[in-house]
Amino acid sequence: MTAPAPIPADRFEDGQDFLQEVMDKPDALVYFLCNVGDGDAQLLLLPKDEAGNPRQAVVVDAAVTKKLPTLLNKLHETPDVFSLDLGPNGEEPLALIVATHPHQDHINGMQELLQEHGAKVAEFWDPGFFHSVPAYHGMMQEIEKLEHLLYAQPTSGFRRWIGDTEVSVLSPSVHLRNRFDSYGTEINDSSISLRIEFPTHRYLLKQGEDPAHAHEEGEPIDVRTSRSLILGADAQTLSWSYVLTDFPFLRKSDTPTAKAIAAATGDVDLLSGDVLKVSHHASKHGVNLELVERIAPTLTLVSSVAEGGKYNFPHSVAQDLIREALEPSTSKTNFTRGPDYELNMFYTSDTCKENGGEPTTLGSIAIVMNLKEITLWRFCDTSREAVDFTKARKWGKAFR
Amino acid sequence: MRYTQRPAPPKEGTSGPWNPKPTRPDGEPVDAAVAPGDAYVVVDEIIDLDVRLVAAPWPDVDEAGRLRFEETGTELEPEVLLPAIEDVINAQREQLGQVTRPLRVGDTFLVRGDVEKPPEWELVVDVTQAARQASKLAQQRAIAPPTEDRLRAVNRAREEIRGQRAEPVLAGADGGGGGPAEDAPPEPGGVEDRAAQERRSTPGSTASPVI
Repeated sequence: MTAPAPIPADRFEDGQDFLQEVMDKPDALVYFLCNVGDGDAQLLLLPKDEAGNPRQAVVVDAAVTKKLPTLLNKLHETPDVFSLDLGPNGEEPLALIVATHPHQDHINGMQELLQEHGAKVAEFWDPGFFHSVPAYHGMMQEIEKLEHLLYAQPTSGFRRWIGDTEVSVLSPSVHLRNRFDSYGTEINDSSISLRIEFPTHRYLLKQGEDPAHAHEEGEPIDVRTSRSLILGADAQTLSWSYVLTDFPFLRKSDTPTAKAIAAATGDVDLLSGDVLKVSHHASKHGVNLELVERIAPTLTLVSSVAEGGKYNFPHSVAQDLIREALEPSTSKTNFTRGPDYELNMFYTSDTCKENGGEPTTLGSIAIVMNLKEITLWRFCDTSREAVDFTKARKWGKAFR
Repeated sequence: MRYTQRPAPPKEGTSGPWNPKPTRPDGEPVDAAVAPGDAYVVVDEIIDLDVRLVAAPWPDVDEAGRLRFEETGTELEPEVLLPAIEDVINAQREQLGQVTRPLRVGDTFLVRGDVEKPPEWELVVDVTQAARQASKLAQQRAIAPPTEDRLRAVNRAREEIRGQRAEPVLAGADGGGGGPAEDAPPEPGGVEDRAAQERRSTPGSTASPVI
């Protein structure tokens, strides 16, 4: 593995207020990739709707106890950012929790999260892969108690719309799901990987049109302008091979068929993503070159320890192939690659090279993205510390 | 709340330590017993030669066969690699008359001794089969109502239908068909099969400490 190079302090624009930026951008989706070492704990605050209703949230994995519940409680202190209160009609603020797969480093905090906030959760997904770790029993025990909770085991192609955000399941393929009960699927390949896209307006109101009749009279939008994230869970090569089959690259041409397909799909690559959360902590089994080329992310994020972890994540071969996908070298001579942060590739284990001092932890990552720009924030927390918004550091440039 | 998937919350409380009752290939019970201080150890991940184990105090079991743990488990990072762990486990399997085989994710053991040091484990009992069934049960109880009462009714109705269909039918009256034979075996994978399997495999909740 290659430890990420320390990031110079002057790359950050200090003195910025993270919560204020979130409040100033009601149309933005906010994505947290928490620093939990070799594990995943992710939170998405979905954009506010045009009526200004509170943001809903989606949790994807809870690797450890404390981290996510504390983050949710801290966000709740600024209700204009996010509130844990039920809506006026009983709407749960946590629209969805996804336990991508039942490995300890993805669900160890799930029982606690459900115990603390289960009444605020509308829906829960896991892949349906049963595992004998105690955390799995604890998670199922809490689900069983929550009578109101909708529970599902989605497979590839399933879509759920939460407000103006589309949650698409890329994996596991149903081919893999049907083998779960026979040791036929490796547990990482049972992972639910997701593509999150917003906004997903498909109809535009005509000038002066009554919104109540928009479905009949609005004009369809053939070409979507949207942002998207790919959350790779721990899916490995086999699972991604099914994803590449299920979500084909449709080469555009002038044929009527190609045009029709493009119009129907919004004329986008079904796997494109502005942000990629690399699968399996950048394990050598987690991603492949063609996949990252298809996604073509602007920002690439890795959740892993820097060095000395049990499995030496991130694996060098995975880092190299991601770099190659982001910045092809094969047509260049005398090519020298810069540090990963120059490729907009960030790790929860990143450190900052302060002037004259020891490198400091940059820790959890937040992305604030709307159609205009994407900003990146770091919270300087270790894997055992809570996210503290007062320590937020903003990346010096916004991404388009 | 949109619609109900599950019944009312289960009763809390347990009926004592889990008793998985592992057997040897010849069907005889493994000669070992749960003792205070024993650990529940799961192989959570294997990457190349590195093994991640998750350990927790030995669980209790509730009246419905669900395992109840005091904690969600601790990730162990043994200093020894896969072959050494496999050697320890297979030596114990052999001693207890259990099948020896390569380690795989999901394998579950009762472990006695310093749980962080596999070479110093004093007793290792492979309880993988029962642990997998218990995990499956945890999932099934969490996602759908128990089916015992309804299942009996379904089976009664099915038997009645079978009885009616088994009456002699004049050739040609309905295309020459007829229902399944009265003594037709249950459909593979059907509810009857699954329920029977579950009843057989439901982890024991007896007071016997002998596993």
